[in-house]
Amino acid sequence: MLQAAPRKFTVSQITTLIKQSLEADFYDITIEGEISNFRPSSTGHLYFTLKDEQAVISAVMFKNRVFGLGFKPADGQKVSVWGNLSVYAKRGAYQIIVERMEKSGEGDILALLEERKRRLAAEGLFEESRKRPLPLLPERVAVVTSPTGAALRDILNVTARRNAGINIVVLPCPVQGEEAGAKIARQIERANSYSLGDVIIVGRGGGSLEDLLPFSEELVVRAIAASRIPVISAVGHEIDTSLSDLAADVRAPTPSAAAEIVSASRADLLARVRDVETTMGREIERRIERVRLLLREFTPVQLERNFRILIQPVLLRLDDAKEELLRALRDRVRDARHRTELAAQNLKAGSPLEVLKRGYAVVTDEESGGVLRDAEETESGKGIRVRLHRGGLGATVKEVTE
Amino acid sequence: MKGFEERLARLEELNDKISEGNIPLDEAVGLFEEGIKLAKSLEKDLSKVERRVELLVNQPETPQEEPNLELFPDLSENDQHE
Repeated sequence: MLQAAPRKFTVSQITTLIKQSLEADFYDITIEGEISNFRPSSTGHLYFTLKDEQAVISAVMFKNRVFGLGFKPADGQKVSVWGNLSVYAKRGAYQIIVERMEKSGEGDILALLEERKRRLAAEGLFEESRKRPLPLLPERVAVVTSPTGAALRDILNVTARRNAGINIVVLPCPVQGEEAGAKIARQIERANSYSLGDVIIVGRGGGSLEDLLPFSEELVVRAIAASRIPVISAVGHEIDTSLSDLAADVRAPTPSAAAEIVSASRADLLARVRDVETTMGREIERRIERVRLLLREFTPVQLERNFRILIQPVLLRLDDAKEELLRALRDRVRDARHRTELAAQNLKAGSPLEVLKRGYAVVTDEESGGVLRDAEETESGKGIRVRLHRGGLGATVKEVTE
Repeated sequence: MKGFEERLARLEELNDKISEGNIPLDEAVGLFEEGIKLAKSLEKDLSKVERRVELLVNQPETPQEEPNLELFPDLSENDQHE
């Protein structure tokens, strides 16, 4: 029987083999444990140990992964880490290189919140159409938060710095723990039933996911959605989202931001009022000025001038008419004279004397003096008179012919 | 006095009316006077600086109960550190 080759290695050889074996087998693994000996390095990497009752394992989380971490790790925290096992040959040590870490149970909580969010969204509690506008100038703000917390201090600081003159009513409540949700919800209802403000800020300072949980409780979400008074949610830091944020009319990233929102509009409003005041004043001045100009028209001199301006065209027309009349008259006279001359000429042409001139004669009865036009008007032996162009004849009719 | 928003809306309405120009001057002057009064009252509201911070110290449950408000120490005035 062939004896197995002696398993003899150099340190480097065995370490390389261990490294290959471990790193291949323990790739992309999850480990649950408690953080201990937590040592963040000055370069930003996190060194710590994960332990349970019987064992420990070294862990490192490099700076580029730390960035996405949603919480501050500390000794004693139970966490889940995802990563790869790595052997550090120079020290003969192995450790887990942590790619991702979350607090234990966080995944369960997130799943629960996600389910609750879907359910409440389906009821329409987060609808955009439910959101009410905030009052332009709140006189009193109801703040539902811990009376000793950082959130209240921030809110009071900001409103004081802003000189906003806003009255504040603090409705105290715990902001974390079992009881908190019900108490927060109750204070929101109280603010409504006793009209303790014209806007409500509900919130707290930053904290762990668990710390912020009361603000995602169904009771609180429903109280916010049912609030008659507009609600600003101000839970934790910028990155934290609670279901309160979704139900609130306005989501402020932090309590300080909520305070800014309720005091911010003041300068804008003042500018708006002053603006209206100025345009209104200018408009009235303009109108008065217009009336003044109008009145100026009524001085005697101005009136006379206006009258003259008014009468000018009439005078012109009168002048024109006069001219026209004279001309027409002159034309008529000339015309009449012309016609008269013409008539006189015609008359002359038709005169009996003119006829006599041409050799005709007029015969009249001697007795009656009537002009004879018919031979039967006289008889033989009767005396007649004959008028010639020049002179006349007395004669007796010798015979009458038919 | 009416709420701030209502008064601001009225002021803007007055301004529109005056600017429309089809109302008689004496009426416009009347509106202007009302407007100036409104503007002054709005400015006064906006320049208010005193404030009161109160704490609800009881937990009223029925409409008959009155909320009991007590002056609350203004945390912003003393520089607190946690």
